[in-house]
Amino acid sequence: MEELNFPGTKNTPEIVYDRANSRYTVIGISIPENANAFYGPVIERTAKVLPDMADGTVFHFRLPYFNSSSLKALYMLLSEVKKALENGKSFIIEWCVEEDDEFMTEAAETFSEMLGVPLTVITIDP
Amino acid sequence: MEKNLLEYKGQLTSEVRIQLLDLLNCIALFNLGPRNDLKKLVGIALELLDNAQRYNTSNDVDFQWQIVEETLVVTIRNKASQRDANRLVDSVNDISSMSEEEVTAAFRRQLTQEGFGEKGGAGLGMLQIARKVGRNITASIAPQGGDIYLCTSKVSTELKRA
Repeated sequence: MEELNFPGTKNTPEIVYDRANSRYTVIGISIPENANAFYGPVIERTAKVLPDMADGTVFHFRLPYFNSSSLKALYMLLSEVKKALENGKSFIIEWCVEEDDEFMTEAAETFSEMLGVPLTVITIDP
Repeated sequence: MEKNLLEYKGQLTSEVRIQLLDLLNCIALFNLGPRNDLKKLVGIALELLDNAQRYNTSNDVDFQWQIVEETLVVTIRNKASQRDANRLVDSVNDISSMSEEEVTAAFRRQLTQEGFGEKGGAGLGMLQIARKVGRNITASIAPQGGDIYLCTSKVSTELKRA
């Protein structure tokens, strides 16, 4: 089955699906000028591998900064994860926030409220 | 000496944008001290820079981050097509007329709407600023000849005590 590996750049996060360890990670700053160009292929390929992902797979998001177009792209990505959950899959979604940081905390709240999926908030050092 | 002013005039590329983000983080941290809303404040600049880069018809911008007493004022000037310039003004005027609840509702609608704009934007930048730091946003445009307009976007926000 396909794994995913989108290398990180200064403006975009590293996105990796490691099937052997049941981990899907999105790590890094996300401020692409054109979020559609970057996230479009990510969402498309993720949607393809989601049905075959093992239960218990961890989706780990650690984004110290992201722009509003990335917010929308992340929402679209998480919507695909939500569809898989509704089809009976059991995943864990982890959202990292720096201690007392309103920006990252509010993003977690936005996704949790709007998608209606449980997010495990993990506090990390800045 | 002006201690709370950062001004950048020049090319706005993705590389410049990321360097400005780093610099603003550093400036905000050392001039305002550690605070919970630091990234939110820098986020204002990020959204304005994003918009400017996305819709700029030249590569140049005039960007300013200034703290005047207890108020942060972020201003950006860039050139844009008449269509994009008008969209900017319409968007800011719409937001100005909205209540806080209406801003939240508009943000949610825009977030869940399918797809992106033709230049890869989500149409969320100004709504995100309004949601995070209030509706003190202004936009003005001035014709520069032909289809080109000079856009000036300004956001001001009271700095809460850290």
